[in-house]
Amino acid sequence: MSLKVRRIIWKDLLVEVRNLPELGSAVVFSVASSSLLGFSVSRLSVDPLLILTVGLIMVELFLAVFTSLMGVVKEEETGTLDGLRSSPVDPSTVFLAKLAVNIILLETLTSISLVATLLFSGTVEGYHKLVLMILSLGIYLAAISSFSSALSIYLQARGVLLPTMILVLSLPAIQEALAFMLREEPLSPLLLSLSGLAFTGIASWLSVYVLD
Amino acid sequence: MSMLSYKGVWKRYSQDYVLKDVNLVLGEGEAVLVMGPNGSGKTTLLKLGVGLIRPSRGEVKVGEIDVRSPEAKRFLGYLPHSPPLYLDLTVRENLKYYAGLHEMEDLPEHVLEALKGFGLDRFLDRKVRELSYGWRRRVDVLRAIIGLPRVLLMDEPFSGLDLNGRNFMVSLMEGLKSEGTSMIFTTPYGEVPAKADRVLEIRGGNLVELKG
Repeated sequence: MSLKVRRIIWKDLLVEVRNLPELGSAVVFSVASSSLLGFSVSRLSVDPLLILTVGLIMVELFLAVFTSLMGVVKEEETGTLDGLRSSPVDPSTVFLAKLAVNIILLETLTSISLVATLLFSGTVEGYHKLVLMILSLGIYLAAISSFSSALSIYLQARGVLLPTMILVLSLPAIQEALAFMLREEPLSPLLLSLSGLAFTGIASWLSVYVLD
Repeated sequence: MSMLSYKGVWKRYSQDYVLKDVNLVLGEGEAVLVMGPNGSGKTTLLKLGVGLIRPSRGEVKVGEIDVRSPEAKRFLGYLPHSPPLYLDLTVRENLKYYAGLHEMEDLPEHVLEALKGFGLDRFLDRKVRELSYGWRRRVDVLRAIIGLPRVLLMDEPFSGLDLNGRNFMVSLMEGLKSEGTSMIFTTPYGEVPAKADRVLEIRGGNLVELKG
């Protein structure tokens, strides 16, 4: 990994960790929503795995919108994007570094959600499958979130358009994730991860035009 | 040898042309002062020079390289009016981050020297958020020169600086100029503490030479 990528990742993580109100809110949201979800499931007599699947996908979608606000769009809002763009870094390096930060944040917050759900729902049959699906979906959502974040620096109504963009772009992956949980298609997590990587490739190629 | 050249550059925002047919060649070690009232297009001229925005017509090059390429940005330093610094990072962390973008593991010697000259060494481990605008401006000057640029573009470099800061800024500019760094700096009308080889004014979008 190049020094430039490492420095952007290091800087972004440091900025987020020191910005406790924002990151703390995301952690509180993860814990609260997932605890409630787990608690509800433990008291219902329907298939807990199905409810947890739908519930956790929604939680992860919210988290993807949240992490998108931490990416390029935050640099633009705080006025630091010009410093980055006037430095000798090509746009695809910036995108890949931002994506790496997004994956770290999204998967960490998702893992917190998974643990909180498990704590409150008790033992659920097939939970390991759910963990695999949610973490695979995280890679895809992180790619979408990073790309939408980069694209939204040109949008005026980004508060509305950014979540909409993430929701629309994530629908195929959500469909695939549900198919895995409901129809037991064994290749789905692999497909999800691969489609996440493919989206990353396309987005990284497009980022040259978007960030330039 | 021309370090930075604007050839037939026009820039339009909506329907209005801010810059009209700008032709400017910056020689090695040359300092050019650009004057003009607020909104005359001084910042636009600098942003075009560092490749942050595209000209509507014409081209801007560093030597023979298009200014928008990462390769060209190795030779450029840009001091915007608002410092693109991360408020939650310390002065050292900010400078180390930007040094990393120039592929430097640590702060280079010339920055360490300038840190002392500006009296910033005592603030190295303080968060930028805790510094006044004048001190942030000093940090930003160091950020702009971190890669020892061949061309330095500065937007009102003396604003926000007290007498000591101005004096050090002038000596820093003279030192860089004597080493062959070319520079364009802007100011609204008024007293300018630094010497320029040429003084230009933006009038109605045209660049007019005031002093040879």
